[in-house]
Amino acid sequence: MGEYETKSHWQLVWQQFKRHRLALLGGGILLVLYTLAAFAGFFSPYDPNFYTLSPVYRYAPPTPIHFRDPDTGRLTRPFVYGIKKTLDLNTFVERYTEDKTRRYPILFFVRTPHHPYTIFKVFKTDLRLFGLGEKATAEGARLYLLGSDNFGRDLWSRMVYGGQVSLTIGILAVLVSLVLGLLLGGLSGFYQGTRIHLALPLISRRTWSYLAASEHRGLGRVFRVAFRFVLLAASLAFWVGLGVGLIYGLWVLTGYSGLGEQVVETLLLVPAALWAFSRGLFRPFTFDPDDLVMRLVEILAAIPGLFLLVTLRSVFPSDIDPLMTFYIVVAILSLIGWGGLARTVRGMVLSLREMDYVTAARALGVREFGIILRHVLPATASYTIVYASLAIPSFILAESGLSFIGFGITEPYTSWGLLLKAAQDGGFASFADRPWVLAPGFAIFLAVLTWNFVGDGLRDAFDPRRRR
Amino acid sequence: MSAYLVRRLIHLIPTFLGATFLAFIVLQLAPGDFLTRWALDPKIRPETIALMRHNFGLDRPVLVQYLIWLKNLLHGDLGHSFMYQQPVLEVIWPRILNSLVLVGFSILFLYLIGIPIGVYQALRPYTPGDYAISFLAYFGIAIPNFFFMLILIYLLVQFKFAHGWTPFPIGGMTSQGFEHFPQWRQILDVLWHAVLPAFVVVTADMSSLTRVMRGLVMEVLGQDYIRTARAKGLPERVVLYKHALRNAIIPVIATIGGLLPTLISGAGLVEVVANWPGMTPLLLDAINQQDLYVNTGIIALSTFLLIVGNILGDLLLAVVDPRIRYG
Amino acid sequence: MKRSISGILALSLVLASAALAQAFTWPASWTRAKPGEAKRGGTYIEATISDFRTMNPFLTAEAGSIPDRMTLNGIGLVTRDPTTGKWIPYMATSWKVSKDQTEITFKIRRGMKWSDGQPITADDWIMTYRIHMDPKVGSNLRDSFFIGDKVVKVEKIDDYTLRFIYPKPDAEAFAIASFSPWPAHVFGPVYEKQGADGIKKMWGLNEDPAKIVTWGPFVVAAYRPGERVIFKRNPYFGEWNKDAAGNPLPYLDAYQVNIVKDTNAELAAFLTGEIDQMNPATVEQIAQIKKAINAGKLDATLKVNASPIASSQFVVFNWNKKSDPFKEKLFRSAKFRKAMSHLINRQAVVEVVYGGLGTPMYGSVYPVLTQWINKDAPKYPYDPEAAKKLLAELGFTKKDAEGYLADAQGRRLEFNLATNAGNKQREQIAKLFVDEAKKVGVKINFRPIDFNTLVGQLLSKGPDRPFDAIIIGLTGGGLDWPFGSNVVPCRGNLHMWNRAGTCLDPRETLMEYYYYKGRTTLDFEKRVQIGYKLQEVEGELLPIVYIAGPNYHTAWNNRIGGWHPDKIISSIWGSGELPLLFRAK
Repeated sequence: MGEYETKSHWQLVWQQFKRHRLALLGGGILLVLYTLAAFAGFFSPYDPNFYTLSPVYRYAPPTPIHFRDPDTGRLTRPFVYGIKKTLDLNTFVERYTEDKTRRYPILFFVRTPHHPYTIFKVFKTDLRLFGLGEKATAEGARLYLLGSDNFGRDLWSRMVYGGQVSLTIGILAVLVSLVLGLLLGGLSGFYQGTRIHLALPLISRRTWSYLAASEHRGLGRVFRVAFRFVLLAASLAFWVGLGVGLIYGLWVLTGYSGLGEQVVETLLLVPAALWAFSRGLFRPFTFDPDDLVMRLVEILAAIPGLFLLVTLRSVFPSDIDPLMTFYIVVAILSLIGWGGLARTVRGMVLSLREMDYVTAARALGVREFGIILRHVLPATASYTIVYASLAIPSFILAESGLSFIGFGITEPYTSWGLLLKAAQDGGFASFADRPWVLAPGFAIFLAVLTWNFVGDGLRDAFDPRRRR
Repeated sequence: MSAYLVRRLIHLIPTFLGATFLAFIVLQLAPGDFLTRWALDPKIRPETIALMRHNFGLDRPVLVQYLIWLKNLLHGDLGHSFMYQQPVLEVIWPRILNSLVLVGFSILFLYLIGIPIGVYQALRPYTPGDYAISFLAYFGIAIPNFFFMLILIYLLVQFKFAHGWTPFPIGGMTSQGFEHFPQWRQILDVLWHAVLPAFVVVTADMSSLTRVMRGLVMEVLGQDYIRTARAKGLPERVVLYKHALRNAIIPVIATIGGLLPTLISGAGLVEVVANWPGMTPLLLDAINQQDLYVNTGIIALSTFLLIVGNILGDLLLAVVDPRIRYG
Repeated sequence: MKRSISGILALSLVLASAALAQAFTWPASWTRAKPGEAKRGGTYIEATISDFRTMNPFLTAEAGSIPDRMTLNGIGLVTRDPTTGKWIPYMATSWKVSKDQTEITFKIRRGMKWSDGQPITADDWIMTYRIHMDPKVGSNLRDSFFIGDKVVKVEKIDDYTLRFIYPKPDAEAFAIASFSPWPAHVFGPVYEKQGADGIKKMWGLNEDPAKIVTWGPFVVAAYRPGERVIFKRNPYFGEWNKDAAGNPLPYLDAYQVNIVKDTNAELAAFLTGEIDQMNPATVEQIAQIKKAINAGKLDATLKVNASPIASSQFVVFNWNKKSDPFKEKLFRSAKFRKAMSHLINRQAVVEVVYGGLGTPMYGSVYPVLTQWINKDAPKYPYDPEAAKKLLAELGFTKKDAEGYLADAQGRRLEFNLATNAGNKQREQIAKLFVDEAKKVGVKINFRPIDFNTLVGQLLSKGPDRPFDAIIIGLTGGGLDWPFGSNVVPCRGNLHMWNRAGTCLDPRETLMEYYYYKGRTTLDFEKRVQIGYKLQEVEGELLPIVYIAGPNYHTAWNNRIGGWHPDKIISSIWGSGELPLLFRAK
């Protein structure tokens, strides 16, 4: 008999994940993308908003990089030529050619004292991985890896910076929906079938005996009774509010509509108001938390995000930074996006709570919230991780969609969606005359693809039935 | 079962009221209204705008506007579009039909292609074929739809330049002279126009369907009863179709109910780029112009369909899966 | 495509044969086609970006609507001659202006018929006027019959004579009289019986086209929601509209407008010949069209930079900031505004934002209205040094720790700038302005905000309004008197810089004076002189800092002929007259 190696759950998962080659590849690419975005200043030769007006390098193509000395024909350190700009009067498009009289070597670990940047908004520095140096820039030389935009801003630098928004927006949104979805889905599933009293009947005998009787004595009893009277006051408020609301509705409708139709409203609303009052007098108002949450999910799912977005964007005070606004708006959008997750989690919890170990915990007297937190939610972890890794790419795509309809992030900030929108605005010229402007589209593609690979890998790794 | 159905239908009312009221509030919270942009027209006097605002009922409290809308809804009236000066239903109905054609066509496409592909992948997991299909499916998901459509249109224009004709129409829903076609040709013409946008929509949704299908079939194939069936010596074909597929397809059927609202909400930005006269272009216009009742009408309809779709999904599930019982 | 018509020349000729219809002859100078070159038949297709909303002329609110397209952009008794810009009789044959210039009597052309064969008479104008004027209908044209708070009246003298009575002489008298008539025999009975509600229910988009009636060259034949509208030739139009050779117009059998919601899709449709005409908006589109033409893939004509377009982009500063006296004083100072004008690099705006195809602007009159531009009015072009000097005169001489200009009390020269989010061009203009200002030490905090919020701030009233500066644009403003009736007068609701309700600067008062003086002057030449004076005062006051606008370009497929000669292709006159277009191939 051989010895069995014991492995923890996470070790097993990691081992399985490593076998999924596409997922590993995806993870590696994602690591590169996030590193580029995190240290955007270091990896970009220019400030993303750097441009000059004399001359304007509008839609310059990528600068050709030369490795061979034209005089000796030998390999030399990479260099670029200066740029010569002419206007093609036939098609009204600028033409850029190399000015072979001026040569500028590409410098590595170059400093740009006039254009410092910060890392994570904290560390201020001006060290860049590569560039031409500020002297060459002042002379009009440019190193455009991916060409320039209509201002003459370096597209590569803008893309690296754009990744900061595009790559983080999904994570933020998913975090918000995760917290809400797990919590409400968990509660909903765990308490399904429990009836909670929202309001008490006002004159039933049971209410009064409930208010008076208490197993406590002394001060404890006083508190109990006081608490129950507060409860009664709340009930009173609820019933009166409901009745008054209905009567107000009645008044409003009859006040604004034609006389002939009043009958309909009166016939509809008067019985409703009477029903509410009488019910308030004799019967409690109870509900199932599961019903409440699930109906809430349906209501929220019914609000189209687009409308909410328009409203939210416009009610924000205008002196908040646009980047901040955009993040807040996306966070709020994900406030309504937790429904699907909550539904699934509820389903899982519904079956989990009948499991033996949960029953055992309950019997041991662990508080209910503790059970949910310690025993039920961890069991949904694998699903959650997979959900997150597949939801993030959909938010990256959503960001580009928002930019397409003009609801995305605004200048001077940038994102892949905004850059892709600029390419789309260029129309067929973007395909025919300057295909490099499509690079942000490729970045979106790459990020979405790799996140999906990783998500798939995780799913297979977590699922014991799919282990190989 | 019928008691369950009645309970769900009763729940429909508060959900619907809650959703529409919330939507109404959200729409009205946005500053300005349909008439705000008129104010920048030097030809229009402010008195006129005040008058129009009164005529549209926009000067009343939000709650009153909502209650009146609700009352009209009881009479089967979704309100009046400010943009079109017509009943909302008359405005959105033709667009719903157009979207229905495109979305219905693509859903059909999706299920006809997606399910067999998923099954194929499940039967040959971790083979080059499986990987290749996965990669293609991801490809579809990773390109924003509107951009994919633009690329296709560009390619069509280039094709036209090179050959003088195009295999598919460049946008639109009907050909020139459509009105004079016989009916069979009209149907073919619309479908012919729908092929490319439907293709774009399908590519985006394909990966999730094939992935789900692949997972489900793989799971079912690992079950004991399949092993038993195989052990009994049943032909693989029978095992697959009679036992495995039937069970694997159940969750997919449950999602069909959820498709109901998408049937009217349109195919998204593809419709704009492909120039398909569906719901999305109308919706974008209505949002931009704050055409209150068109917006509310669309929300109300899709909410209704969403809830009904959920109920339908649950019922479907009960029909195909005898284990599920509703009390 | 824009408006058109006329022919005083042919009048005498036609009057001789009074038994027949009195024909209007479309002058040969309005088309580049040679006489007799035009062929008959065929369809002309163009595209529009915005969906059609209604076929009802009393409810339509936007340019290029179906009723507009049926009536040559909503003309009637008179129209403008694109070669001169002057008003000429069209559905009228002549007019007489009363001595005090407050009444104009029009003789209506005889023999005109509606597309259902009914005669067109004075009653049609009277009924159309009555319905437009009913506030319950909510017609967009209602306001055009108001001069200030007073109403223009229309009277029927006899079946073929109409009198317009103005409260005072008015520069736009003919523009007001040029509204398009609609059939009284269709709208009248409904209006008499059901009032405004009856009118509102008529001619919606799903109306049976057979019920649509117009006097114009084309009448609706079919509409497909969100897709296209097809018009067919109105046979009665040719009875009184002739070309220079005497042939009935229009030449085309049908006219079609496709709804294309995406500019790329529109370009694709034009490149592949699905539509016959488009006005490319960007240098990229122009380059694509040019490339296709050069490669022989597309047989089309492209007119680039035909004229500037009739719209403006500008910065407006808020004079009503009671809560911030420092800024209020700053924004009310003409020197400050001139300095800001010196900081706007209009050349860079044209180059970066409009791809080189735009026109800088220095005053409120659109550059395309060449007759109206006073070349001697003061201008404040891009000149950072001049700006620095002006700001120094205002006391901003020192630089603070962050390198921004500050006055003696150490108050920094800083303000907020807003424009509507999502308008890429304005956002880019703002960026150029902010960056240029920073170079001389002016700190501008730019925030794009929601359009409606922006409009709300702009139109807010009182001594304390919530914004500092806004970049926005206006369109409109006519050939008769290019100054806005609610922009120039101090109480106008678009007097955006100062909405205190009164004039604060004597030059505002002077501008208002010239505005009303010009508005009540009927003589064109005199009015232009008053306009020149107004522009001089405006240049001194500089209440609004104008920036630049894009140019108008147009392209058409050569299978359609009869376009305007180059001389009259512009954003005002468009690329051609619909009745004169013909299918050449």
